[in-house]
Amino acid sequence: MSAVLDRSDARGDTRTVASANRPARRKPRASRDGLSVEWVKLELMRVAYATRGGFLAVRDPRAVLAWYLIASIAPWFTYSTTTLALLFVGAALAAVFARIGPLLLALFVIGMAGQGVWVLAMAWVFSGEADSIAGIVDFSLKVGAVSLVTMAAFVSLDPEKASDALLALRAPVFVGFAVNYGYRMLPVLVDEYHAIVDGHRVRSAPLRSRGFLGHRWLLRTARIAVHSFYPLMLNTALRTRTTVEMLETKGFGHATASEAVRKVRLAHLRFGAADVLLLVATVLAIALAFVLGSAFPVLG
Amino acid sequence: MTAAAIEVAGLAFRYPGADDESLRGVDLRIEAGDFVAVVGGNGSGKSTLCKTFNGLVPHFWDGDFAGEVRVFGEDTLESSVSALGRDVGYVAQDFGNQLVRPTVREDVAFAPINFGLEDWPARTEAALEALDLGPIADRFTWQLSGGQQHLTAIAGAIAVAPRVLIVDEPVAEVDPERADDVYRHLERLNREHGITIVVIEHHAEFVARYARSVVLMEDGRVRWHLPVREALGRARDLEAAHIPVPPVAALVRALDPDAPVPLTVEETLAWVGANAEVAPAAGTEAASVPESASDPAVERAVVASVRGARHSYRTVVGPRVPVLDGVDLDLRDGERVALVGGNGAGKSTLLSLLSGLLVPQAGTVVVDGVDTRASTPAALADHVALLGQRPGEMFLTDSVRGDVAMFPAGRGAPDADDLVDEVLDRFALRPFADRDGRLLSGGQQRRVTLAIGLAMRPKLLLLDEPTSSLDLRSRDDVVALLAALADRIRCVAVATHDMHLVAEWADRVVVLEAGRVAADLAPAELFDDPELLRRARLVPPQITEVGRGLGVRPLPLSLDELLERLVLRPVGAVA
Amino acid sequence: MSDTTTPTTSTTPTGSPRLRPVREPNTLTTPQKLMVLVLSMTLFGLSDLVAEVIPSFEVGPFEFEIAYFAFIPVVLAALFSPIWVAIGAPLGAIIFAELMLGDFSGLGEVEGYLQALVGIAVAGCLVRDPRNKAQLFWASIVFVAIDKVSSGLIDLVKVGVGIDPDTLEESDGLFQAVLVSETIELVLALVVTGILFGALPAMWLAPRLYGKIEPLLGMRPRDPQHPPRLIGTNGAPWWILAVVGLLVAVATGVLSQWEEFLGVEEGVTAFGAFEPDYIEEYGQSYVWVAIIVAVVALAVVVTVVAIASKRRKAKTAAIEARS
Repeated sequence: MSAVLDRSDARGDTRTVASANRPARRKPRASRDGLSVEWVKLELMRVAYATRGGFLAVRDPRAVLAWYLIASIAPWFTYSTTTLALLFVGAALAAVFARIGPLLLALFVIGMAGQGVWVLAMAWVFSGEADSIAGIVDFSLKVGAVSLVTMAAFVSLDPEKASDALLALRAPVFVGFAVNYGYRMLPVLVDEYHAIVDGHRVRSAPLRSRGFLGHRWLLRTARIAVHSFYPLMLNTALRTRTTVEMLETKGFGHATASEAVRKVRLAHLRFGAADVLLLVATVLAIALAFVLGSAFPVLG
Repeated sequence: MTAAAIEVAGLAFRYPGADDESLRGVDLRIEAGDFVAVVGGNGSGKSTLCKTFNGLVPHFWDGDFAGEVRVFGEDTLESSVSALGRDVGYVAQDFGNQLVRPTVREDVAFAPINFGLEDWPARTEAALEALDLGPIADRFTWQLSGGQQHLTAIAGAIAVAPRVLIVDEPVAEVDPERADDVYRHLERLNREHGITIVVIEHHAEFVARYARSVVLMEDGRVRWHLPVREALGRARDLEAAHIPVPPVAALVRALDPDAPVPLTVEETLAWVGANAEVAPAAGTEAASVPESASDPAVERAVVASVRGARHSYRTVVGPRVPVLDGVDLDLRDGERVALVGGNGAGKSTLLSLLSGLLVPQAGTVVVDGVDTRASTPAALADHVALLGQRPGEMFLTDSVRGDVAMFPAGRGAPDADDLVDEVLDRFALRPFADRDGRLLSGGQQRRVTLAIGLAMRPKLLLLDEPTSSLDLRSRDDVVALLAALADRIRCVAVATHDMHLVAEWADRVVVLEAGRVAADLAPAELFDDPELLRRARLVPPQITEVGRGLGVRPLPLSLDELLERLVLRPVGAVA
Repeated sequence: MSDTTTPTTSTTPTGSPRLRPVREPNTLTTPQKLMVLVLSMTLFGLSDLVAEVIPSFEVGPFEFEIAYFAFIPVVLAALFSPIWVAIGAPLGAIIFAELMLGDFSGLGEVEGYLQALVGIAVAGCLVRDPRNKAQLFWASIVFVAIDKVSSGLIDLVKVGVGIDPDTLEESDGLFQAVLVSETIELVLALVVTGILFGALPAMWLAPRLYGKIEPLLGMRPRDPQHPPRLIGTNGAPWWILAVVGLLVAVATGVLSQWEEFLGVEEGVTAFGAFEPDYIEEYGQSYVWVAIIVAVVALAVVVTVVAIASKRRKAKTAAIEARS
């Protein structure tokens, strides 16, 4: 998404003034598929709307949330490296079969790698021993497993399911709505922010040089990022007004107070045998990991 | 006497923070089963009035309120918006933002579920069925075209089976053929289901064809409420409210002020056929046919050239969708080009390619001698300016002056201050120079975007739908300003659905169809080719249709051109 | 058409009838609350997404980063009802940035949410006049300070709770190390998030939006004579809610992050020279303390919610009885 802000600032605007007369030396622009703003946006949407399917996407949303709770709490109750490694592998498999997609996977791997490098560096700087390194490995496995489980669960819940699940669990109605609406507005808002930032880049004073360590570029980018919120706030206020007017017209206020409406809305939810089976299997698998962990300890 | 759907008495309202009342003493009665068009200039209070019908005013808008509004006998002040929503369906003008759920089906089901109706699945299907939305029921709402979004919003409103349906500008930003679809659907709901329909409409043509009575709002009051034929007869009142009568009515009135007001092209043809005859073209031919730019004899300098451009978009689900499929196009000096075609024909993408914001996946785009692939959007801004569809995204600062000055001042133009002053004067924007562009009316906003474009001093100016959702006066204003740009800008290209703009302004029309250039011709040629019009989902202006129906050649593009060719038969000479 | 009116009858000769406000000033209808909530949610959520992708700079062990665009909630809370902005903005951050990017940390989110909620609500009430730059400056600082100081305190409490009494003497160094690192982090956060991406943009933005954005939502601009007061919706003094909120934040923080802390702990083992076999008991005692604190906190929350909903029901019943 950083492409929103620096797609061509880094190289483009330094040349703005001269480019008409001087042939550009850098590579010509191409229409890119991967790693463009458009791609990131679409990838987010695929994630948000669970379009890839997967083993959790077909389950009752309450079962998915319960599965998430079980699977994300389990790693915290063990110090066995074996158990943690097994749980991590299990979580990774769950993520793969929940079809989390390349973007989240990349973000996850980058995050894990960054964390690993940082922690190892600290251990080296403070002359850590094998024990602290073992602790770091344990910790990374735990965090990684929980992160994978989170992604697997939330990739499988589209906004409609997520808000139904929240409603079924008696969360305040506005929370369910907020989740749903947030997902719906995201592509629109990202588009609009992108358009406004583009407008700034095209129309505001071009950058003549990047400055020391690129500080001018940094300042300009930060200024555009902030200034873009002035139009965005007003435009979003206009959108919000229409949206909430329509919510009222369509009886949303009526629905928040009514138990009958809650029943009508949740009537289609079915917590079936397959859902129970999923949860039982998950608990058994976790138990097995704990048993194996105590039977075959690694690294103490 | 039939039952009243809505009764308004002594209604007045002032918005929070405003100095003047938006409504100042409205009395009105709308019968159950009526099809009412509310007309009036910008700021006459039409939208505010319609928002009192379902209680948005005063329950939603903090303001000062007086008087009484009764909906089927119920006082809106005593009720709530949610409760009124059961009887009164409301479709707002801004249709993109009124869809609150991700997919079409979920959005249509939203209201029935909220009202706790257990048969909501059946109601949802019925509403989707009624508006032929079945094929797109599972699409994401933000990916729909404007017309589809609007139909979805209407389906969502009728799914609860309201007794009154209020639609604020049903056809703004909808391509001409879909506009007729929307109105035909509304008419069916009114006739077959007995739903009282209230529309706010700028286009007198639609009022004439579909409404049964007309409410004229003026300065926060109801000027009159009359049956449609009588209402359209009061041309002076309508013109005072900036609602020009339909061109067909104006035509007949110009020929015979006492003739009955025609509501459709067919009625006009019948009357004109009976009472007037076509005079032979008397040397007006050369003047009335604009010089065709595609004429090979007139070879002018090329400003922009597109060669074999292809572009496609990825979608959330499924494969790539091609938008442009091998476009070749040259834009030349002094041309006024209109890009036309149905929703999704590739007009906006072509503009983005020409502006350099996008580069084509195959082929080349060269603007003012610069290959867009070898430059950046910021550098290309010295050559080409694109004014987008939504003015809100063009307003980056907190004042009109700031927005106009942004580009020249940013580029360090030595004459920036003078230039900005000149542009502000030219577009009559001095009075608003220190206000935020967003807070101006729709017509003023368009003027500001044109001013921003002019201050960038591009060789090529590109506009996306510059006249959508404007009242007719503001539209004429924009057309006049566009015409006046010719001295400063070498070439102007406009993507539009507005066939009046095409007829009155353009001298070259490029028809896009399924990502290819289907035709490249003069406006009069376009309107004379029914097969092409049908394929590109275009509806010619009424005057042109009347001209064609009467066999007038060359085809008239304006009322004056047609009038020149018609002669009234002496009274009593009717065969 | 029997209802046709003539031009003369429809206008009131004496001018407009007497206009009156429909509601008391400073009260919000449910849709208006929803509007403020939705607006702050979407804007802060989007800004959080942007802030997440702006690269951070690491100087030694300290991250020099934009934690979030603090000016967004501050400006909104200065212009609209602070409490609804406070409820909405952090919710948006969770939904947009964390849920979607798979960065959701379950219960740990509650801690951050409550800190931000209290910070935003207090900051919003500090601004009496959104055109006053000094007030905006301090509001931004206070917001970031409440958020960061409370999270720093939570970290310290975690260390305090987690330390085995037997090893108390040896752990002085750890305490100091945590204190020093938390302080430096706080100062950095105040400068980067609080001033550069908080106070300065807020001072630029809020006066520009004042009087423009409120009418768009059908509300009256804030009256400097009648600023929102630090009093809850049910008349409960605000500071009690704030303190309870922060306490709950501490409790959930302790509960959810105890193990994360363990991980950090091991990274800085060199500071404190711990015994390797200490981890086992240390972890155990820690869980129990956390669970007890959490149960108490949960009880408090449930009680507060129950009382609030009872009052609300009573109020609704009264309104229904009247109508």
